[in-house]
Amino acid sequence: MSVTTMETGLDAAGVDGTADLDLVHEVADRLVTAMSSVIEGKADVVRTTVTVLFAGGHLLIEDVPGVGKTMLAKALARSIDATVRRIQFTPDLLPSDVTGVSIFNQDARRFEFRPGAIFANVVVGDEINRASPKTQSAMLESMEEHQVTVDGTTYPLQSPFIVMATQNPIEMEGTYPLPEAQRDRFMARISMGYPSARAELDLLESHGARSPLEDLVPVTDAATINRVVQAVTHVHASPAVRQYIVDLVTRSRTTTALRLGASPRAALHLLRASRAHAALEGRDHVIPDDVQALASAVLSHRLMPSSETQLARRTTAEVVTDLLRQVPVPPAAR
Amino acid sequence: MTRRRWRITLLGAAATLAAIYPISSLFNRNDWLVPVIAVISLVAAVGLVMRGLTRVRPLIPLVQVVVVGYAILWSYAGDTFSFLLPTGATLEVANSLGLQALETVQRYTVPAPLNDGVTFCLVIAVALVAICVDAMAATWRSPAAAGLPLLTAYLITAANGQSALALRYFIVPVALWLIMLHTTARAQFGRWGTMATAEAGRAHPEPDPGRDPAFRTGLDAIGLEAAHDREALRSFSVGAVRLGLIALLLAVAVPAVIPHFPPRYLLEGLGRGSGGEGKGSVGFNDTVDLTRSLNNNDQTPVLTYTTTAFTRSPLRVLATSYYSQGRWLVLGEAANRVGQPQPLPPSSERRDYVLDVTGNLLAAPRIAVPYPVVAVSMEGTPWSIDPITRDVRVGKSVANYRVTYADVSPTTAQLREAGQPDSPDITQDDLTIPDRSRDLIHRWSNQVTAGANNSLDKAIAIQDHLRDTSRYTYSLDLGPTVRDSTGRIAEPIQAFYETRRGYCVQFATAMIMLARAQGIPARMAIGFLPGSRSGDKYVVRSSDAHAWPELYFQGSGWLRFEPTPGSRSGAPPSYTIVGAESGPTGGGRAVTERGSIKPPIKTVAGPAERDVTTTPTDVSLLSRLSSVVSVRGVATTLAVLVGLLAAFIMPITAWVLRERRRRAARTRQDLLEVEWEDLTSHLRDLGIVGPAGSTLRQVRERFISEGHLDETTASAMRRVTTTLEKSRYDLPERTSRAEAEELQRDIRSIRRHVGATRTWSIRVRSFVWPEAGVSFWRSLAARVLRDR
Repeated sequence: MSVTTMETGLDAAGVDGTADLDLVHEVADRLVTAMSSVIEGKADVVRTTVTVLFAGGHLLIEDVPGVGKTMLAKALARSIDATVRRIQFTPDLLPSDVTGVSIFNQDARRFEFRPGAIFANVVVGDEINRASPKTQSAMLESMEEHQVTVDGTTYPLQSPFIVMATQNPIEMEGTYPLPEAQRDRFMARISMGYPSARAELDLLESHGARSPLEDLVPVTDAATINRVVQAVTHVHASPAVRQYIVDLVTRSRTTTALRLGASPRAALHLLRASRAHAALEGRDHVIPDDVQALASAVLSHRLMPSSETQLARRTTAEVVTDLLRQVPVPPAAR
Repeated sequence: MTRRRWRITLLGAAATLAAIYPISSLFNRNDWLVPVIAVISLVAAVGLVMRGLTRVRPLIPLVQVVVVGYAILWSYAGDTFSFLLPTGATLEVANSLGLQALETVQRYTVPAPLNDGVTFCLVIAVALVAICVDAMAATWRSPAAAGLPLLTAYLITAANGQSALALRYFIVPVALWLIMLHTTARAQFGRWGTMATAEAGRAHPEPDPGRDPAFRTGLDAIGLEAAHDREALRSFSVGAVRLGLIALLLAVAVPAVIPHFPPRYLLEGLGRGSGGEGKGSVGFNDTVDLTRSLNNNDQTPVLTYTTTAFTRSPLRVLATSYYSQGRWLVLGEAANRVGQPQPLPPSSERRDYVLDVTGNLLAAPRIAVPYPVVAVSMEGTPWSIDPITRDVRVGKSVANYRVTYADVSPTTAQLREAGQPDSPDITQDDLTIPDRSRDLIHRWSNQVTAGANNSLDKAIAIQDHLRDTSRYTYSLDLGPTVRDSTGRIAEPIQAFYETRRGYCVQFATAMIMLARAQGIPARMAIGFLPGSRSGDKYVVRSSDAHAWPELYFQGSGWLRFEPTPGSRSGAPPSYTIVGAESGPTGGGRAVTERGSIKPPIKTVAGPAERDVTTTPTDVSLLSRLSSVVSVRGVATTLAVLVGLLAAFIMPITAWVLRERRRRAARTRQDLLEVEWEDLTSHLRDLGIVGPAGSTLRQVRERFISEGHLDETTASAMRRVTTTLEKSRYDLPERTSRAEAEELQRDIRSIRRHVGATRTWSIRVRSFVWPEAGVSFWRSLAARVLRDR
């Protein structure tokens, strides 16, 4: 990839750029292969997961219990040779359990910071909507800022840093649904969906003896992921594509089907995700198809349906599909 | 408007009358107007009554035809009726009336005498026009169509008249027709708003408006919408005015581009030229106008001939003595003179030659023959000779004929001794000088002929004077209009005297007038130069048209002179050259120029020389002298061109738009977009529509599946979209020239392959009716209608 000097100070050599793109492709291949051995019959979910990872975003996995949300998160965590922490959110979980806490050391006669569960490359937040809003917000703040501030001291988080939170649909009992502002922090939301009959049959067979997770060995490491994330930011997004994204989010704010449209952050996330998607396809430039492929995953969890949409029992994902149909792809016919 | 449609009926009748009124210029009396007005009124009255009685539209014109036909027959052949019904004898009377009309029309030139037969036919024709107009305008309520019969009626006169019709003859019927259009359009438009009332009133046993509450509500609603209606009506009118303005502009602009057709153009060669070879014919305008410049250089052959003579004489078509207000005219009575011409000199004093003409295209009644004619032979065509001018006239156009003509070149000695002119061949017109220029002509003539003491020497002096190229300039362009001291447009002879430039008509006229001033009878001859050799034949073309003076010498008759300078108008006849040995036997020899005249070509001034050499002759009096085959040719070509242009307006528009976009493209990206747009538009024309607003890949997949593209074409399509994708979304400099060229190649192959899989009809439609062109015109029309 020959990177425009405008976008990067790292390298401008075509050879290095191409090498980066190859690296992205190779790492993605290895990750997808590894994860697919655990998550069967869900190639698109796996691919989206990897895309979000490469785009440097966080992932919200939402579905009913038992379809493999946690398995997906763990599979990704295991495939990368990095620090992995898992937080099981419960109503009594405290913010300090997540961020860490300063404890008075009697010997040293001073406070010492004990890092919380969030200090890792990959954080798996299981059933995040079971935690109290206070705890949720403690984690979500650190997600955006990549740092934790305890007792006036700021501690940077590791890099790469990806949070994969799972949640049950909000209708389920005993949950505290994430506020819109916090949902906005996740780059994408995916649903697992039930496996196909064939995949389910395989699953019963392979999971009978022992979990396939145990066979999973890391196929890449944190440093590589960092390089990949860096490389993805150099994928070229033409003015036309950027215009398309702006058109899409603008339309989401004006359409009557939605009460709340997409935020500027959503546009930013969509562009980053599209770049990663393009890189995964081996392209060094974003095309509108990349945007369309990820629009539903990136946008639908941030949107609030209008009452008409709710009455019609339409999901925000369907609304996003409509938006894609309505907004013409630039360059529009002159 | 009631069902009878009073207003439109009366307007239609008035328009019919206005359109046929100019026919009065074709006949010498106006008696025909009375029965014609009666018939038009009858048609209108029957129409009004019938529209009140019946709803069956075809019945109305039928009844009109029957009633009017009966009335006409009764008034012209009422005495043959038995029990109030026409009989076989009635038809015989009608037939003889028709024959009488036919004979009159064939025998007489305009203005023709009026007789019962002509009136009868006129009344029938007018009745038909009136019924057509009434049926179209009032019965079927499409006054736009009624314009056609009105135009036909008008064209009868326009096509047969001697000269262009005055503007008022056109303005009045057109104005009436436009009022008809306006009335009907307004009434129909008004019904949009008040449809409920109008329809209720018309179609159903009417509900009482006062008592019917639903009806009342409807009326109120209409009242509320009235303002809206008025607004709509206003925009409607504005649109109409706009279209009218465009039409007006076109009406002014188009005639400026298209050459002016002579007024008789439409029927020439159709009615009169039927005896020709079917190629059309050359009309010959009898009138010569001195004030017009010439710009015609038509090379259409008029006739081809072989001759037994060594040198060739001009072929004369007609001669006229009558000069009026700058024009030479053939008067009606002159055209119909009958009798025998004066005998020619005895055969010992002349020499006869034979001239065989083939492929003559000159329209009847004119033919071109050398002067003077001894005998004419043409198969089965009646001909006559004018006793005074010896013009030969034919009953119908004739392609081939043989003429025997005499060469009566007297010697100068004979001519010098000729006495006072006294012959029945001379009329008063032959010595008439226009009053306005009389003084000038006498002064000029006396000056020129000073020192000459006999007619011949005077004539030669005048001829030499005019041929002197240091004094006069030969030019087809007469230059700006000359005005006299009082600001009036100068008499053409005076203008020629002032400007000293002109072509054969001016030179010939000047010589005639100067000779007349000296008491020599002189007249204008119009015809053709001998033409150019083509193999063993000679071809006379339209551009050979020429005019020359004929002067009368007692004992020798009318003799040709040649005052026009120039190489092709030729040397003057031998007897007009001082010192030349002449005589009948010498007339066949080429004349060497010597003596009194200077070799013209060498001293001709710059611009004139160009005219003389490049436009070979004293080119044609064409636009004045004759209207020509080629006028029709030009008109046909123009019509075909315009037709083709109209038929292919859409593809041409599409092509122009594409080229414009292509030129406007600044970058390679723009160019690729143009190519792609072109392809999608073409595929759309072929019935393969890409989803609007989709990504290139989606469009591509649609094309491949809907177009049932084969593998080669599909991969070409993939290459195209990939390149285009790169051009659109990657860095601009990454798209290489090679890729762009490949894209163009691929697009061509896709077009070819996809086109080959479509049916013939779709392909033709996609060519003739491309969306790219159609949408342009559609949007243009929408813009024009919307902007206000």
